Amino acid sequence: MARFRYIALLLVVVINSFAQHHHASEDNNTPAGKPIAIIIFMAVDCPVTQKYMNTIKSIALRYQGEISVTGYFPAGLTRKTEKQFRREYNIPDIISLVDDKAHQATEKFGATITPEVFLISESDKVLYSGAIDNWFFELGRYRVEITENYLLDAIEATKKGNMPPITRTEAVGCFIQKLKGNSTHQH
Amino acid sequence: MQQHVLCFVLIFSHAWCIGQTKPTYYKDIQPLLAKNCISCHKPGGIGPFSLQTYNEVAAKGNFIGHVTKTRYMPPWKADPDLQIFRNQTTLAQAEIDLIQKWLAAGMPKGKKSKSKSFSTSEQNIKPDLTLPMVTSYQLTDQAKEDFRFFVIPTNLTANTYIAAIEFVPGNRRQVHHSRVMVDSTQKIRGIDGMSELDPRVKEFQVIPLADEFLYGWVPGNTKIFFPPGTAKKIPQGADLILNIHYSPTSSIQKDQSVVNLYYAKTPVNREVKTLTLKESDIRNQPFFIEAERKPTFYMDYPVRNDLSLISIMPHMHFIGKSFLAYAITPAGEKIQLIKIDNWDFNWQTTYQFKQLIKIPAGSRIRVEAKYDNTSENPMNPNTPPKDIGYGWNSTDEMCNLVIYYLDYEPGDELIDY
Ligand code: HEC
Repeated sequence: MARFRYIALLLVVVINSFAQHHHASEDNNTPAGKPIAIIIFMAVDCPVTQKYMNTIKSIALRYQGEISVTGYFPAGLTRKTEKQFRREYNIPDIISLVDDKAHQATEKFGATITPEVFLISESDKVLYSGAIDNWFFELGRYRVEITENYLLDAIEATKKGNMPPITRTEAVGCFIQKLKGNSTHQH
Repeated sequence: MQQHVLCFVLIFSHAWCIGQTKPTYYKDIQPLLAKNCISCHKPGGIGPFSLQTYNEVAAKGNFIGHVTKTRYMPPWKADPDLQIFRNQTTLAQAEIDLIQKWLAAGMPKGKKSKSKSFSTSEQNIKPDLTLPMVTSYQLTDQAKEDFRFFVIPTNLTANTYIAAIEFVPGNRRQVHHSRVMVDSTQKIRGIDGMSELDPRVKEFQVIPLADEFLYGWVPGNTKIFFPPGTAKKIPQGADLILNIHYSPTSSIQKDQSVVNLYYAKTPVNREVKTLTLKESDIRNQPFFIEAERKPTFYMDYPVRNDLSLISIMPHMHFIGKSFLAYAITPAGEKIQLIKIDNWDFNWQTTYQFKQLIKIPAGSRIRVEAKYDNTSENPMNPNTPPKDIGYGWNSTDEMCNLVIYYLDYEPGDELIDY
């Protein structure tokens, strides 16, 4: 009996670490885990980020107290610009804005675009990453009507313990400039 | 011996080439951006950020490489291989490659050259009549597309000849494009401030306009001006009708745009006229686009007397896909006018020919306009697609080619202005 319990524990550990290193889509049998955080890479001067602020605000309000929303700024965010940005887009305090000039978060998540989202589970797994929805389909070109709400669909599915219908999309927006001396390739 | 000489030449030129392959910011990139980007990407410009210093440019190096390589920037939709325009902004392939080389080399800064200034020579003539929107308009912050009509009475007490027209957006970030029309009946005033979605727009749409397209403006356009001695007539007491497209915003924004008129100062001996090819010039009627179809409409217009074309402006709405216009002369010669392969409703503009283009009497002006009303077209305003017919609303469709022209006079092709 003790031996069985030991094996079961081992199995859980193995599955967990597997899930952490692989993409959610690659192990469809594991329950996805509840979503607890949305990470969004942003740039103050990126027109696509700016246009999405309203959508981002409404998502943050909708899941307030349940899922946190944090914006990371790979091009940096000073106190002053944060203040201006918050005022201009009327961004509530439930959305945290974080300077990521050293690219700690950018590199951890492998973000390349602003806005690019990562939906994170309680076990620190990426449940969904990419575009918020299919509003923009090319730089400078956006749909008159949004027909796919990737992030919302992923949140709703994982809240119910299901896999997101789509786990990864290509974000459309501004390129994140890699730090000098970093050889990782930009797509 | 000959081979040796050739070899020597090759080695020599190769070495010379290598000498040239180290582009730097100050030597190569700054002048290139100054010529092609800075007019918009400067503080207070219509571009979203400034690209005036090394740091500003290096912070967006790869992005700049991407937007130039894909020819998204500088914005220009017409095929430059077919026709060159006066207001053209395109990069040569060599310039695009130069940016790529500079990025690959790690964006070297190079040495600052002695006080070279790159100020673009903008003519600073003052407008004779400045016509702002009567009141300022506040946009919704709900990130919604907004198309509105505004009426500006000119209060002109006599017919007036104008040598140039200019649209100045009040809110450079939000005004995405605008179209200026002229009404001489004063019966359209009720449309002022109305959204395109308002059903009452239809009532005004039936009133014939004096000028359906006085000017089409997109970000980056400056004034359109006519050759010396020529001018466009604005009728006495006319109203300007503005159709402004505001792009979605998540912040509170206002706009009070302005139209500037520049009166003709030299005696006007020739009037700039407008020829508009309309839906009624379509040969394969009806102009009706069924859901899930991708029709092409063909316009054909017989030219009765010799014309000198000044400018051209194609017009379609959301589901327009591509637009081609050319003329066939009686001798069977083809004169290319414009080709837009990837129609973008947001970037329609008046294309001004570099030189006046002569279209001889007996020619036919032809247009091939393609539309895509399928669900695969991301620009489709309807999900699922619906049948779409003619109308002013951007969710209806139109098919127009607006041409400014003069009646031809010998020597017109040589006018340099
Ligand atoms: C005619 C004015 C104009 C010129 C000239 C111009 N731009 Fe832009 N640029 C814009 C505008 C307006 C936008 C914002 C587009 C939007 O919000 O949809 C923009 C956006 C951009 C972006 C961000 C992409 C995006 O969609 O937000 C980059 C990068 C850029 N421009 C680089 C350049 C470079 C490099 C050049 C010169 C080679 C250039 N631009 C020339 C007007 C211009």
